[in-house]
Amino acid sequence: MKFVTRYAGAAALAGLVAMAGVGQAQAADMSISGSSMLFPLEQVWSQAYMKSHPGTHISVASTGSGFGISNAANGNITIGASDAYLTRDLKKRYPSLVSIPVAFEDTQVIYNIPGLAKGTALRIDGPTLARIYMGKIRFWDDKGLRDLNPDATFPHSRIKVIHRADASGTTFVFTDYLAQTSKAWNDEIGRDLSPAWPIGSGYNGSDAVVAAVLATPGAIGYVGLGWINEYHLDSMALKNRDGYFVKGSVDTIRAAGKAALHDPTFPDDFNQSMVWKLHGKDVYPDANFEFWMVSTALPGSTMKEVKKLIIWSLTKGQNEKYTVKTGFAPLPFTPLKSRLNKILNHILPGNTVNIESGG
Amino acid sequence: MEQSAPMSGTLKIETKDFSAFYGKTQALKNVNFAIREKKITAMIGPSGCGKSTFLRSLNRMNDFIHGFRMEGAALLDGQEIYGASVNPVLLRQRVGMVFQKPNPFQMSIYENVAYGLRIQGVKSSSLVSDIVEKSLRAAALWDEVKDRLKGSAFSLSGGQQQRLCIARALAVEPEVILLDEPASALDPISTARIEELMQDLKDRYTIAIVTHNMQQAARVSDYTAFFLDGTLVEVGETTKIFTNPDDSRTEDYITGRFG
Amino acid sequence: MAAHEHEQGDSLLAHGDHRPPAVAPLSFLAPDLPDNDEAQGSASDLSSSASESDLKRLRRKSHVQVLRSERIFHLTLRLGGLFILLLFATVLGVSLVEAWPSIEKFGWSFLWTSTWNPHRHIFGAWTYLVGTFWVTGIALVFAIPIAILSALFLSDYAPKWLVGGVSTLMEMLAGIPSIVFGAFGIIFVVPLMRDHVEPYLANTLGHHFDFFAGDSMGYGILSAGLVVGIMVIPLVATVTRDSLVMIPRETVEAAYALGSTKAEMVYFVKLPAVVPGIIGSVILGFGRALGETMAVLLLIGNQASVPSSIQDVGYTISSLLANTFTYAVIDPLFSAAEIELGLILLVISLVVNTLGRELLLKLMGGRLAGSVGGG
Repeated sequence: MKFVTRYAGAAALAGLVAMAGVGQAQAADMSISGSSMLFPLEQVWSQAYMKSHPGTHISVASTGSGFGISNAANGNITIGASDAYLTRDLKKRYPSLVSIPVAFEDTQVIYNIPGLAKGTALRIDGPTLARIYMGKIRFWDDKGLRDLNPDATFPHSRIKVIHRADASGTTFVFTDYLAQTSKAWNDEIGRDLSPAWPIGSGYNGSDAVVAAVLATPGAIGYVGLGWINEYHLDSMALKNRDGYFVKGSVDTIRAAGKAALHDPTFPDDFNQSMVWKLHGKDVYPDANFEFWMVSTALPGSTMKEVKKLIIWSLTKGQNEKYTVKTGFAPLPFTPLKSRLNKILNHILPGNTVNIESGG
Repeated sequence: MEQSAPMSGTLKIETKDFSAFYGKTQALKNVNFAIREKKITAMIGPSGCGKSTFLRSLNRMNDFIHGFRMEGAALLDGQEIYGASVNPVLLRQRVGMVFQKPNPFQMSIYENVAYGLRIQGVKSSSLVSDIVEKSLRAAALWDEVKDRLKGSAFSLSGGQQQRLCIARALAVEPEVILLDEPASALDPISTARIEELMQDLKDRYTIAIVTHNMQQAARVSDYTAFFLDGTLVEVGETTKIFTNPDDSRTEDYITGRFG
Repeated sequence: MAAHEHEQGDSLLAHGDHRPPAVAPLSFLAPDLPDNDEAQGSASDLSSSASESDLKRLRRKSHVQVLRSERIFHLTLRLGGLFILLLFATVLGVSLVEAWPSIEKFGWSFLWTSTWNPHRHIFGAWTYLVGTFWVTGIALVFAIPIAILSALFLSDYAPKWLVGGVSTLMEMLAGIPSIVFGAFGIIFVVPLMRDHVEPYLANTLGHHFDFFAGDSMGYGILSAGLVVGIMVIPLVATVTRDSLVMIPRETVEAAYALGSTKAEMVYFVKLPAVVPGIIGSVILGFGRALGETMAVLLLIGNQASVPSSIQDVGYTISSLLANTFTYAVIDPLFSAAEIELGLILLVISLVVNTLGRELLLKLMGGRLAGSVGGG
C-alpha cells in the first residue's frame, strides 16, 4: 500500500498545511481520524472541547481503524482512532505508536426467534455461540441451546447467522470472545476486524445488522450497547469467566473495566484484550477499550495539546451525555489514573501533568 | 368507363369512383380504372399526381399512413379490397409490391427470399430451397448469387438488390405485382435488366408499374394511364397513349410541355 | 501567423484578381468555391456583384480562421487522447505495482483459490468472481427480455402520447443514483423475495432443483441481481429503442408488402436488424452490472461463499472492496490482494468490451448476417 498511503498522506498533509496557514491565529490544530465506531463520540467531544477551548481546532473523520493506525504512525494525522489494540504484529510495524484507552466498546448478541415468548431471557456461552457462527448448530431448538435455556421453548426454525460485512471494532470484540472461549473458532477463524466468516450474511454497519435481524425470522446478530439502547433490543446474557451469565449494560461493562484496571497482570500499555479475562459476578465478558493512537514522533508543541485533549476526554469527556448517548460505557477514571500517567509520561517525557486537575 | 373500351383481357383489379384522402387533402378524385390480368399497366404523371397513392391503395399499404381514408370501391377479382371482412395481411400475399429503393432485409440473400414462405409457415426446407431457387431464377439473379446465398443481402449491388426484392415478392406467388418506380434508383444497365425481367414475368403475373420515365412506360407496358392532380386523365393501350392521346393534357405531358 | 495576415490583407485589397497562392493548399475546400469564382471572374461591374464580393471576403477570412481553429482543435483533441492514454496507463501501472505482492505470492492460483483469510494471509478470488458473475448474470437475464420488450412496445405498439412520457421516465430511471436503488431493494425487493418469491421457488422448482431451494432470507444474489437488473433495463431499452427507430421505413413496408402481420414484421424483420444494437447495449449493461457496488453491497448478504442456489448469499468483488478496503490498507498483502481483485475486474470488462465490439463489427459487416436470419 506504499503508493496509496504515500499519496493519500501527501494529500492529507497538504490539507493540514493549508489549514495551518489559514489559521495562524489559532493556538492548535488537531486531526482525529480512523474508527467509524468512535466517530460519533469524537464528534460530540470535539464540539464540546472547541467550545471550552477557544483557539483550538479539531477536525474529525471516519476513515476506518486501518487508516487511523497507519496514518497516525506516519504523522499524517494527529490522533488515529482504533477499535483494536496494537497487536504484536502492528506494534512491530508501527513502533512509534502508543495506544490510549478512551472509551469502552462492547458486543451483545441480538436475535429474532419466531414464536419465542416475549420477555424470555436467553443465555448463551462462547462455545455455543461459536458453533452457531460456524454453522454447526443450525436450528434454534438445538440441544445445546435448550440446555442453556431450560425455561425457553424454541421453535424448530433455521438459525440465520448475520454479521458485519465491513471491517469493524464490534466484530473484533465479538470474534475475540469467540476466540477466547472456543478452540475451534480460535484455530479456524480467529479474532479480526474482518474475519473470514464461514457462514451467514454480512451487512454494512450496525444499523444494517439491526435491520437485517429484525427483518429476518430466525436471525442472530451482534451490535454494541448504543444500538441495543437506541432500538430497545433484547440481548442474550453471555457467560463470563466465573460462569455467570451477564447481560451487557453500562454497569456491567464498567464493572469489567474496573476489574481490568485493578488486575495487576493487566499490561500498562493496554496492548491486550480484556475480553473473557476478568473475574466477578457482574462482569460483562465481551467488552474492551476503544483506543486513540498517538505517535511519539509528534512535535512537542502538538503533543502538549494532544495531552490536554486526552485528559479532558478521559475526565469531563466521560460524562454520560457524551459516552452513553453515543453508545459507549464511560471509563472509570480513578483506577485508570496511575496507568494513564505512565502512558502520558511516555508520550511526552519530562512533562508531568497533574491529571486530577486536568480538563 | 369509355377509356377502357378499347382494352381487352380479364379485369384483375377495378376501381369505381375511388377517392383517397390524407387528412383533409384529397389525393385521388373519383378514379375509375381497371388493371387487366397478365398485362403490364403503367401509370405516369408528374410528381404529386396521385399515381403512387393509387398504386399503394391497391394492396392497402396506405393503411399505415396516419390520416389516410378512402371512398368509392376497389375490387380484386370482383371482391372489395377495403371490405370489412378483408384481412389486409392476406390481401398483400395476393398483391405483392416492389418499392422505389431496394429494401432487402438485414439477412442473408437466401433468407430474404425465403422470408415470405417462413411467415406463411412453410416448414419443409427442401420446398423452401426449391422456391428460393425458382424465384431467384425468375428474377434473373440466380446465376449471380447461387454461390453466396448465405451472404448478406447488403453485399449485393443496387440493381441486384432490387432484383432480390422482386424475387422475394415472387416467392410468395402473388397474383399481382405492384412496382413503385422500381428502377428510379438504378443505373441504366440495371434498369434494362429489370425491364427485361418484367417482360418475362408478365406471362404469369399481373403487373402494375408507376414510373417517372416515359420511355420506360412506352417500352414495357401494354396499357398506360396518365394521372394529373389526383384524377385519372386518360388510360389506354400504350401505343395509343404515346402516339395519339385523346386528351390534350396527356399530349402536353408526354411531349414534355410540362411536368 | 504573418503569412496568414498577409494573405488576409491580399484578399481584402485585391479580391477577385487571382487566387492568393497561399490558398492553394486549401484546395480541399474547392467544392465550395466554383460558383463564387465564376461570379468574380465575370464581375466587371462591382456594384452588381457587391454582395458576392462581401460574401467572398467573409469566406476568405473564415478560410484562414478555419485553418487555424482546425489546428488548435486537432491539438486539443490529441491532448485529450493522450491524457486518456496516460490515465489508463497510470491506473494500470499503479494497480500492478500495488497488487504485485499478491500476484507474486499467489500467481495464477489466486483466480481459483476460494479461501479469503486475512488472518492466515491466504487470499483467493474465486468466491468473489463467482458472486460477481452470478449477480451480473441474474441482472442480465432479468433485464434483457424486459428491456427489449419495452423497447419494442415504445417503438411499435405504444400510443404516441405514451411514448414521450415513458421515454423520459426511462431516461430518468437511468440517472437515479445506485444507492437509491439499493434502498428500494431493501424496503421492497428483499421483503418480496423473502415472503413470496423465494418460498414459492423453494416449494415448486426447489423440490426438483437445489438451485432454487433455500432459506428465503430475502438478501442474496437474487435480490442483488434483480435490482442491478432494474438499473440495467433503461440502458438496454434506450439503446434498443434507438436502433429500432433507425430501421428504415422501407424495410418495414417491405415486410408488410410480403403479407406479414405486425407481429411477424417486428419479430422477423425488426428484431434481427437490431441485434447489433442489442448486443452493444448488453455490453454496456454488463459493464454496469459488473461494477455496480452500492446497491449490491446492500442486498447481496456479503458472505464469501460460492452460491449453490439462487437464494444464497454471496459476495462481489466491488462490494468486498467497498466493505473492507479501508481496513485492508493496514496490511500490505491484504491490500495487494484487494487491488488484484480490482485489476481482475478491469481485465474482465476490457475483455468483454473487446469481444463485444468484435462481435458487433462482425454482425454489422454482414459476415454473420446469415445466421441472424436463421438461415
